Amino acid sequence: MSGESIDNDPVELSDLINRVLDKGAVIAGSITISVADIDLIQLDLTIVLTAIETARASERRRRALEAAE
Amino acid sequence: MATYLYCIGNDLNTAPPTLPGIDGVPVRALHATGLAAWVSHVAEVPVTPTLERMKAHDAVCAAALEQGETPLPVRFGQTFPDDAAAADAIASRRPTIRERLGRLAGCVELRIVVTRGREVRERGGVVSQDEGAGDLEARPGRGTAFLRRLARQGRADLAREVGCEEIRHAVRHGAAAYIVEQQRCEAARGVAYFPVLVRRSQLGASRAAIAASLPSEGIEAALLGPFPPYSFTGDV
Repeated sequence: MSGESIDNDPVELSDLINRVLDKGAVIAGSITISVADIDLIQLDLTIVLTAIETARASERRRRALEAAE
Repeated sequence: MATYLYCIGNDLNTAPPTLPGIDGVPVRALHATGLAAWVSHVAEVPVTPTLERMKAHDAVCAAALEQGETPLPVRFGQTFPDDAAAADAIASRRPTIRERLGRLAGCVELRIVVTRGREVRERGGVVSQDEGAGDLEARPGRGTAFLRRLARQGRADLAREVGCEEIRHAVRHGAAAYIVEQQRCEAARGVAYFPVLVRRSQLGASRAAIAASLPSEGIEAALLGPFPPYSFTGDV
């Protein structure tokens, strides 16, 4: 289940935040989420996602160069 | 000490004795006139979201799902002054909660997450989402580089959302026999996604049918789950 499978995969972590912070039943009570806190978490994830995208782009460029040679 | 709420069910009468919740505090069952919830004590209110706390919240809801009944997962961060206040709040919404639990019984949520869309066609030519990623130093100025970076990001976001809609359409037709309910595409935090509700008894076949419906050409997508049905709780 989800609790066991969530590791440090940025896609799973991003989805965890989207699921747990934005979805789920809202019962009465206190629900105060600091936007700054979420932004910090999001910033971390964006950096990781961007790093992965950059790595993938580099790999694609490398393969394209190899294919052209 | 405030009471932190994780999930609600008809039969969540006992929590696993060693199940840790937010900040490692043990989870316990709370009875609320015919319903039961899993809760734990929290010292800090409001509960500041951290990845560890969000993982703990999700793990508790997942543990409830593993017990057998599909629970009604609660959004992160909901606290009450004490157990009595939490039980009162749940009891006052009993008819709606019962209706939701009945609708979601025997189901789980799967999520299709799109991390990259197809390359965007612009002004008659194909523009890669990564165009110029490695040569920012060659740009004439920081402002221009910043604007171009924004444009690239915008193209990538748009490509993800278009890809997500394409996959949603394909899944709706290719896996129609297994989908109980399907939500619209949303974009947040660097991904585009949509959730589907499927029967637990058909989980394997549902995953296979959805996976087979995913177009792979140029779109990077992941099928995640099963999860408690966070996206299908509706307003309570």
